[in-house]
Amino acid sequence: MAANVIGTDEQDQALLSRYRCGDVDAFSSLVLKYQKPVYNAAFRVLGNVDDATDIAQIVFLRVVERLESYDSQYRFFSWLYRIAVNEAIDFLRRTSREDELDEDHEYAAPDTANPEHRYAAKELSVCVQAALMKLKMNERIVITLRHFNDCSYSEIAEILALDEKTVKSRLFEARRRLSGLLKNLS
Amino acid sequence: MTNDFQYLIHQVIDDLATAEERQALAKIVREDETVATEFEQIKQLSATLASVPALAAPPELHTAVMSQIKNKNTSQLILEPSVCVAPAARSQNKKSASTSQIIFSRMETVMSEIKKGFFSSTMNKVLVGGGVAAVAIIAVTSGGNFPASSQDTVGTIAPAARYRSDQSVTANVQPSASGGASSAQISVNTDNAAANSASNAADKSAAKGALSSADKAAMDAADKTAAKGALSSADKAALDAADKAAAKAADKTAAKGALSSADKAAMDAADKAAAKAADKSAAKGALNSADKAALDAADKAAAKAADKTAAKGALNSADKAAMDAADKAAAKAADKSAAKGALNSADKAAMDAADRAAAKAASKVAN
Repeated sequence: MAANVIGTDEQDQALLSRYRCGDVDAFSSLVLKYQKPVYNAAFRVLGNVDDATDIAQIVFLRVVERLESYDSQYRFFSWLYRIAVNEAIDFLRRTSREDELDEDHEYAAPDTANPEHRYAAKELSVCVQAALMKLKMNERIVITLRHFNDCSYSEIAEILALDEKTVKSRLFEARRRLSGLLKNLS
Repeated sequence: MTNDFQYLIHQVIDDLATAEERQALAKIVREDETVATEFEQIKQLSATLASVPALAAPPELHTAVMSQIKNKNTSQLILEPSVCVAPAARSQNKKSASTSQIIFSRMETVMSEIKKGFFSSTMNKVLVGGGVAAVAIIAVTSGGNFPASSQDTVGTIAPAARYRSDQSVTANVQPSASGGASSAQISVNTDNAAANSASNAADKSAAKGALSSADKAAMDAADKTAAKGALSSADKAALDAADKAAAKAADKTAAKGALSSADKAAMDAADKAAAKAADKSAAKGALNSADKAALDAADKAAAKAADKTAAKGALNSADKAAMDAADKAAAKAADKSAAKGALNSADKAAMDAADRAAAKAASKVAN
């Protein structure tokens, strides 16, 4: 599913090869391609715009640093998301700022030019984020990967280094809890 | 409620269920109201999450990442001219050497190359000079005593003595044959002269050879000294050049860092100024178009937004201020007036004002 949204892994591998040969523009293309999903994932897990920006930046730098250890038999975006998730988890553990919510964020939806739609979208996003932040971190991560990054069960399993069965049960539980939380919030 | 039921719900929600699984769930939902409720809730949750718009990545994110990566790559390129090598080979290099470390490392390399060159050429000169000196010493010592004394030259006529016949006696030499003796004596004298000439020539030759060798050794020694001096100068010049290059590189790096910081500061300042201007415009638009309640609300919202806007985007605050103003104006108008027309007018005026303010703010921000 995620592959449909963000393109084929062959394209990513080709860009990585070009970067390894010194073509910095190839990596620039990768950053442009993945900055939005990585930033969104970080924001949904952290709930803060500035923290998400920092983590997204760190994620791409980690990719450069760890490129030697990347095994190309795995999809690039899986590896990238794994780095993003781990960095977000590390950040939360370091700062213990799970309760902070940030309402000032911009949307990439095409109809955001309309202030009314934008306002409604923001209200919904804030409400959902508030409920997400009440979930356990592991539950929040699977919800984020499944619903905000369009990852399939197998992709989530690859990213989190879990088996699919565990991913499913975690997602079931997270959905039930989130549904109840949103009901209370609304 | 069983795990099978949950499994079926999520299979259907995730669009992974087979036809049989869909039918099975439909049957359960019809028979069990609790299951139906939960299915409906999860379905609604899925729809809600799908309607949450994705966030736009911050515009500065790409630039910030790429500027850091370019800096990192520049550092690596100084250390390894060819980065397009096997990962295993690349892993031997330091991953995140700082610029100063790299410059220092490069300087060490240059220095070691200079020193290596100096010592190898010096050693060559010494070896050649030493060889020439050794040849000269051998030549001098093998030439014997110099200059040769007359005592020593006797030895050189020894072969002539071998031809000296015994003194003639009366028994075998007639008195009338005295010319033979005289002739023999002349012969001996001639041999001695030849021997002396040969000896002198040999001595001269030896002396000349020795002198030549000595000259050459002296010349080599002089060359060596000159070469050493020249090499020292070259070494010093190379060191100075390396120092200057390192200093220049360090200056450039520092300048680049300073420029990046200055750029960022300038961008932040520009963002803040734009945000403030947009907020003011929004407040002004609301004032002109809405009633006093809208003005108060807009001011309040603008003030709040102004506090919050540290490069967060002026449009957000302006929109929110305008929307709040519109909402409050509409609500107030609705409360105060029973007439629907008044409510519509206020609402429309407020909405128009909000839209205009937002558009104005957006254009200002864009400018």
